[in-house]
Amino acid sequence: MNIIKTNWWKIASVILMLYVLVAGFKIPLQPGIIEVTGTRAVAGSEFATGIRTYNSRLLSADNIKVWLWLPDDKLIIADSLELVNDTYLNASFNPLPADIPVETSRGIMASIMIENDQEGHYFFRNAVNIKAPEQIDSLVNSYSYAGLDEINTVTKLAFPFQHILYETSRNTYFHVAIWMAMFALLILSCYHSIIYLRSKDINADYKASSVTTIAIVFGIAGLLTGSMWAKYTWGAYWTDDIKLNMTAVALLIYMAYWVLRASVSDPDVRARLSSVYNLFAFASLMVLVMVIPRLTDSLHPGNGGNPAFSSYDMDNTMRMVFYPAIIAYFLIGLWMAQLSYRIKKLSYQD
Amino acid sequence: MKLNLIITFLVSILVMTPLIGQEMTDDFFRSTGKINTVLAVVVILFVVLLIFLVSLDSRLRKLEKQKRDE
Repeated sequence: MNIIKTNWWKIASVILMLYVLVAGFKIPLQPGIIEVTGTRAVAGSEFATGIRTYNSRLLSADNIKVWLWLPDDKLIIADSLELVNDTYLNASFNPLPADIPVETSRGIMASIMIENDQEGHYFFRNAVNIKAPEQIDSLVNSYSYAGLDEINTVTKLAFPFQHILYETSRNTYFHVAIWMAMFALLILSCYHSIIYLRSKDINADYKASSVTTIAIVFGIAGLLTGSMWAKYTWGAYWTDDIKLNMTAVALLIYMAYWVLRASVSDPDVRARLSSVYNLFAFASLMVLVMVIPRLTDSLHPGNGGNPAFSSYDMDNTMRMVFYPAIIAYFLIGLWMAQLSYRIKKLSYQD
Repeated sequence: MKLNLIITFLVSILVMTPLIGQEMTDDFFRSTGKINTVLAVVVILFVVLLIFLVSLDSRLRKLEKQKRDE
């Protein structure tokens, strides 16, 4: 019983980690549209397009409708549909209404939306460019548009579909969560450094350095996993993205912490120097990773005008896995730090 | 001592098998909604933690040897 009492958080970390792995992989993605083949249309003329979807079951769906969604939230229904397979269909509008409000010569961008009884609705933003006809016919019938309130929504346990990312949005629970756990661990190590500077208790320094070491290991894992993710979504293992470069600089600053500790042999001097350095490194990490990327353009969500953790990027289903993942990595990091701390304490005891 | 290293090596090979078994082309990582990229990310994470554990193991072994010699 004692083992459970003192080690409950280790058990919790294992259970949480298993939950994250199972839920992170087993919960399906919502269906979505990958590709729309027809990208140019003219108001008043016929328009046909092929639509490639992902994770959908069109052949077994009832009441499939394809809509053209105009910027002012008016909807035009496709007149005829041809299902090719579960993930491909052809839709044609013959013809599009002639009174589509196209103000500029560049036309307007309309979205394509698929709706059915089983899967609800899903869409591809700004898929089709609609231009005004060259000769405006004065005898057009006015078309009765549908509204967004007529669209059917089905809520299922599924992660949101993200264009280009597809299934890799699951990396949020591995790549993003490990960075968050790293920040939590570094805050903890700063706390121990402050404790050392106030009390001169050498154990606090051992704790701080153990936790920092694990945090750096998490940071390296974060860089490597991020590199893998970037390759198949942004197109390269390493991009000029400001957040990548700044994070690399911050990690180098933290690696100097290891060098500093290894180069001083007197335990008290080492503890004092590295505690101060740790606080400095944390402050520069915050500036480099949290502040500077927000000031310029970045591919990362949450920087340079990209929204992060908004409803657009993350919904409650994702949060259900993402927050436990952060806690799981944090507890596992704590566990690893504790082992490292106990080894340190034993080796410097005499 | 050597047994430990061998076991670690075998475990890492076992983890890498699904990746090595198939051709590691771009198509492999882009297939089925890029799910294999997620697999690769999880494998990298696991391997990094494994390397840390091995280093912890070697530190502990040094300590044990030191205590035994005293």
